[in-house]
Amino acid sequence: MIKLVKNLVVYSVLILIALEVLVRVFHLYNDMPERYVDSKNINKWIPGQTGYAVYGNRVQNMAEYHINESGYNSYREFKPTEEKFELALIGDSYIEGFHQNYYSSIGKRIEDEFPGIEVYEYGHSANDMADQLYLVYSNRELFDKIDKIIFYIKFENDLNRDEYRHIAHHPRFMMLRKSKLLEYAINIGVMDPVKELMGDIREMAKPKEPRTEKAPLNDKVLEANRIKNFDALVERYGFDVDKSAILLDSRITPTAFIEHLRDLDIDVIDFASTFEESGGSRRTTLIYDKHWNGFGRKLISELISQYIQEDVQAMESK
Amino acid sequence: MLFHSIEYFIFLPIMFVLYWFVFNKKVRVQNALLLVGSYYFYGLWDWRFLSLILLSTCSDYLAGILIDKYRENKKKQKIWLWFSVVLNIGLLGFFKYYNFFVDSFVDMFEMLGYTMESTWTLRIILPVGISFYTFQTMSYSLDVYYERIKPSRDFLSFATFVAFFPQLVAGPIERASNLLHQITSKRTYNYEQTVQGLKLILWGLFKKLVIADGIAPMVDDIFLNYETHSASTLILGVTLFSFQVYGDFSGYSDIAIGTSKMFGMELMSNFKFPNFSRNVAEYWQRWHISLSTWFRHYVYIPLGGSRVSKLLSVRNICIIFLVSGFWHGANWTFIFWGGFHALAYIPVFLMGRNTLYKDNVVGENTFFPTLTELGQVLLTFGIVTFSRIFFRSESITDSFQFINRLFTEFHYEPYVHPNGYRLIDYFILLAVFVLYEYRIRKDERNPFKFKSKAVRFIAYTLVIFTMLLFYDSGFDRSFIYFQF
Repeated sequence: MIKLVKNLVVYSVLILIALEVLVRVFHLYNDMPERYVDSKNINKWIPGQTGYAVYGNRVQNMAEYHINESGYNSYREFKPTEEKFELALIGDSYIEGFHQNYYSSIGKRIEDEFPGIEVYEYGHSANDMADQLYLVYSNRELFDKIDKIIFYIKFENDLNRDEYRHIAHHPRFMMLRKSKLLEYAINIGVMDPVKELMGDIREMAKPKEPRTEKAPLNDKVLEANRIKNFDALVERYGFDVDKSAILLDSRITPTAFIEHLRDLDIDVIDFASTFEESGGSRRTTLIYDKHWNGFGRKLISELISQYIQEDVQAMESK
Repeated sequence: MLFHSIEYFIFLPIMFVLYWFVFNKKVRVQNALLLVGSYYFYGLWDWRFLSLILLSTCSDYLAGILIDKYRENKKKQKIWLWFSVVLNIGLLGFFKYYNFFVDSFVDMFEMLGYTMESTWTLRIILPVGISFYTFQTMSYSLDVYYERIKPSRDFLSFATFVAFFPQLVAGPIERASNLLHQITSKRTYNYEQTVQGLKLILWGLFKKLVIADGIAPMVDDIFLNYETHSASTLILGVTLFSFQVYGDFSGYSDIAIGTSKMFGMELMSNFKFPNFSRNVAEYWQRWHISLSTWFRHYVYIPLGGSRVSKLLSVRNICIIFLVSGFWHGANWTFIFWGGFHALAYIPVFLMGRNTLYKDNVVGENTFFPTLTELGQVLLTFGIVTFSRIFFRSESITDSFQFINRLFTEFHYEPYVHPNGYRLIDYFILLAVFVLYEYRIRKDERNPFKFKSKAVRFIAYTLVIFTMLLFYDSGFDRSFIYFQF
């Protein structure tokens, strides 16, 4: 038995080392940048970090990122002036763009299509409407200089709270993530059964409390609550109707909300029909992921450019 | 509990340590541990069905003793044999085939012009492994009846033989003459045997997680949407399914055999590289061997086997293939699958080539196969793969529509993996897998036979690395043969 244990340990250690080397050599792991919380209690990426975001097994998607001085993934710095025309794109991982090379992001595409404009991509994974409006509210001086702001929201995910509160991110196994092998294993789901088992054990260890079951809210109530949350956020943090617009997909957004935005005189950029006419989600999103692929990002940037163009023309005609 | 679940990787070492280093003083105590562990292993699926295993165990234990007791009274002896057979077939028939017979009965009346509303079908869950353990216990009663073995007088050992967890849910279907005496004998820990077992487990996991589960999403996608695909994609789908079902089932068998080795028991080989068979007869000597031999011993030979006239032999061949097909599932697709194999086997039998390759492998004395052998292997693989259309289709109508499209939509179309992966990765993987299996084709129980420690280490590392490369967390990872 001692021989068996000894050989198993030796082989396991050597194999783990070899696998760590292979994962690094083939760059299968995701170089996720590190976060920090700024003085206004907002989650950002530590400036100056560069690397490659890798998704899926066998390097299904590999994109280079660059965190600028403002703590966002972008090829440019965010330094608005009164003279230039700046556009801020605010959103979650779709705007953050770890699925694309930072030098071919949506913002860069808009800049290429619309010379003279500077696009600032304030994207951070999992940010919702509260994060987005709070960002503008707490950086009023900066955003006052920015000429146009576009918020990207997904109704179902992004309007579930009516006030901003900082949410700390605590990725699991942080110390162990120094190992690129483990980082890769976590990303492809190998560690999911371990996480589930740990969850089950924790659940079993907890003292049993009598369950008070709440009846699930129906869709109509949820929809009304989300619209109410939107109003509360606008009330609390403000929303400059003249220079802001909302980018959304009407296929997954209730008509009542879109009509509500129109009642509030908020511009809506709806990409649903553009995506549908271009072949639907199979052509516009990554197959293994829900994020937009290169073609989807191209369509979004064209749509935004067109909106800006029309907006500028309307302003000039006034 | 699945062999490739985290629960199993906690369960197995605990059982191993308890078995060899805590309860190792007496065989009975080891057997008691195995029995409790086996019931726990099975109970995690559905503890209610443990009652069926117990029923089968008790009845066959009793039948064995009484068959032996009435050795002089053939009539009573037969009654007890029939008791065992009827009970096991009855369990199988009720849980697996009841709804099939009701539906077929209703369909038959509808074909004759009578409309019947089926209210007799029941919501029955198929207990995992029922086809395997009922056949195993039935073989025990038959062996006692034919005086091939003495009946067991030790209930604990017999119950362990029926429920032995490595082979309980999907075989190999062991015969008492091989396994029962190992269970009743004293076992001693053997380092070499344990290491061989671990190697087989690793190889089995590779076949399951990489080969079978890696290509499963493509197979599912193609068979689900076969009506929209051209022949090139359908051929790809059914060829990949051939590898999937092989990787899945032989992977399971390797893990079962490897686990048994860790407990000092040798199970029979269930697969001997069937993809390198030179005719359909050789294929059946290499594919799901425990089931083929079961049917040969308990159906084919009692019917007269090949010692009767050619016509009767052909009838016997048809019977065992149809029954074997039906054993796989309560669906006409499996009966057609069995029938197709009978049709493919009969010409080989009539030409007297059915035992030609019994004791040798392709490229027996050379590394490379001859051109003739290569042609034979490809032809056999093609026939077997074609039959898999019936095996994999949801209904017999789907099977024939699938085949119809193979001929009517005969053109090439590019196929895109449903999850966006590169197809070339899978082609390279399968090519390397086939070449490696060809290299080890003479010894299915020793997949990492390298003299050099360094080469062994590289092989283990590459196998585990490939598992990491092809791991797909979004896929239901159960074994295909669990549904049988």
